[in-house]
Amino acid sequence: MGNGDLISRRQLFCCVYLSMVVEMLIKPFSRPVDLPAQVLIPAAAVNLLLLWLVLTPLGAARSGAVARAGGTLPGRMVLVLMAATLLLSGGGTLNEANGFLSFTGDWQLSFFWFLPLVLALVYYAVRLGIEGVARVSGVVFVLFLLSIGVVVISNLREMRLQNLAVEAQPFMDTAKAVGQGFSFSPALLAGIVLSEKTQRGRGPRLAHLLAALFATYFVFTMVSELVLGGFATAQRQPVYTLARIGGLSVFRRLDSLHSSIWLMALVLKLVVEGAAVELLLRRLLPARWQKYGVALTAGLTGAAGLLFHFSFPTGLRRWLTAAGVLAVLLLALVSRKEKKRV
Amino acid sequence: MRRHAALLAALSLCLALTGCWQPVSLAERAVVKMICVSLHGEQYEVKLAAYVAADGDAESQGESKTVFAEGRGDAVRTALLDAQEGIQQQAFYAQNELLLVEEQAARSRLQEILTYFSEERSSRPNMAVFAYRAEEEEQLLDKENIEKTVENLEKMKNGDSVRGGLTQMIYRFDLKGERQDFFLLPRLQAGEEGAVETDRLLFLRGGREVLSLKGEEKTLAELLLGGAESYQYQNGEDSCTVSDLRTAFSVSAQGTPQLSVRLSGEVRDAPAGCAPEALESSVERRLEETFSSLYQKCYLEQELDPFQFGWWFETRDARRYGALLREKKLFGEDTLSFDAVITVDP
Repeated sequence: MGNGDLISRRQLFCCVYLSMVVEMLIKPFSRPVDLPAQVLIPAAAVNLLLLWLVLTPLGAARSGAVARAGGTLPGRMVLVLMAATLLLSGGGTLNEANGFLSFTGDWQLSFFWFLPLVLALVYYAVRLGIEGVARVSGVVFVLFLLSIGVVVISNLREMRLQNLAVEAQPFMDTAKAVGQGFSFSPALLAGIVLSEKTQRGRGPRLAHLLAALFATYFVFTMVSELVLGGFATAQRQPVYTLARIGGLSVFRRLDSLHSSIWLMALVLKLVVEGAAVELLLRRLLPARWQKYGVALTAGLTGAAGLLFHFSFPTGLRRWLTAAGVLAVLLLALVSRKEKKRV
Repeated sequence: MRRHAALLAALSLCLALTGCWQPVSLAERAVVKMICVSLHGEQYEVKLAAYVAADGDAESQGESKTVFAEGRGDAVRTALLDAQEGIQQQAFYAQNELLLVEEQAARSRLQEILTYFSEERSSRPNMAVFAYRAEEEEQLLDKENIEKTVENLEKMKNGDSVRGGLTQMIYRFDLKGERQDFFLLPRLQAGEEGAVETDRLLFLRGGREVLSLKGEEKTLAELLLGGAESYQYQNGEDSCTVSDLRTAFSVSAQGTPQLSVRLSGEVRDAPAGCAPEALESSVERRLEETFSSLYQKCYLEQELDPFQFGWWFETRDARRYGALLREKKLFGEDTLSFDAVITVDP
């Protein structure tokens, strides 16, 4: 493997960060936020700490964990679980992206046009390889940060300190929010799989990733509440509402600009998860089938997307969280066992 | 590098997915600039004022004319669709910043109307909402002055108007009533040749108007709500402007818990020959008397907290605030004090 086939830890950080952060922004199936920032922010901190605890067992074993797991039958079963989780997440993301497009767009693009268009893009990007995707992620990362910066700056005039709700006893609500809000993004599984493509097989620094996610969540939640106050409770997508409110100078509305960047990040998430599935399939499929890995990834993602289009499972995030946590713990177990054996 | 560029180009497809498909030229659009909503019996009545290209084609060189349309329906949406039938062009709502609700409709259906517009994708959540009296509708939608009226209302919304006062945007309303159980709505008064100003602040709760502020009380309320930055003092022939107005809050450390509100400001255009001390005390007295009557009406009679004094109280002393709240003594005669400190710059 030449250096041209490797990606840097920073590039992988951009891929995983964007894939995870876009889930916070685009939430067409989630309930409106009905808790104040005072509760949501500490709850997010606890949830990220829990996530860190879940990923800790994998810690030292992470380097080469997927490769080691591919060598044994139980390990291969774990890889199947990871691939299935990523595929189902891809199906959900396809529907979320289409839902977001319908919610924000002036005209409605049929899912049956949207699906082949996006799948063709995913197929092409996965075929190019994760290296190309990783390089593009840097550009999308910068665009995304600019977008968030513009959302904040364009809403500065609208912020009101009194919109911040104060709860004298926030502990019960925080505990409830921790229970309801914990989720394990399958993008983390993609990060684990794709870390094989980095030098020395090390993925992005977990502490940095979680800190960046927390900082982003903090900004979203605070700005939403400072601007929208009680109005936020009626909003399905508060951050998008902020994008619709904020204007700069003569540009009274900038939401189309933001939504195109967010949609890019959403498609990037699909590609990152697709690239991870393709790598997993390489370990799972017999050698003569491996050349169909990319087509199989796109086909299965499309099938999941189509299935969810007709019947979207309301508890998908919970199922993906359970499957993701289980996969990480099993991978850590199998990998450690294999490491000891060797 | 080529891969990189190709993938970036492919991702840019997302730009095409966000609305650049099937473009509608400006000449084919009717740019809605003002929506008036009223009730006709049990039905909603909607009136639209929209700008269209003057001669209806792309050669209009940027000139526009105003078209009007009206429609009725059982819901705001159906009334709007009915109104759209009266316009040849495609109605475009994304530029509209003004929503005017007739007083009676506002009293009984404001929540329903605002909920519709807050959920409607094609409209803006930062539309300014005003109430108006039915008898003023004709003047507000007067063909001769509509462009001036819209311009003045937009100036008022954006804080560019001298007589601005408070404007309420849709996203300032707590539609689910989780933090505030009332709506506060400024009422418009139309003047000659498109002039507009707000003459009242209406407080609506439970489908009825519980309080209406005007004159000095309205002005002070707007100051406390952040809708104005200066105060015009008038006493007979003498007048001056109090500017640099600031509000400070504190809670007494001992004894009966009390929130102290202090309004400070400066007069820079004192009338010639006027003693600064006399002017200071006269402005202060006026503000304190007005506040006293405002507090009586809002807090003691109606138990409304439009100025969020409760929030300031809680953030400064949560424990004593909680105790007062439990005992239902939060806003009484002695739990709040107000004083004005005005300095005159000679």
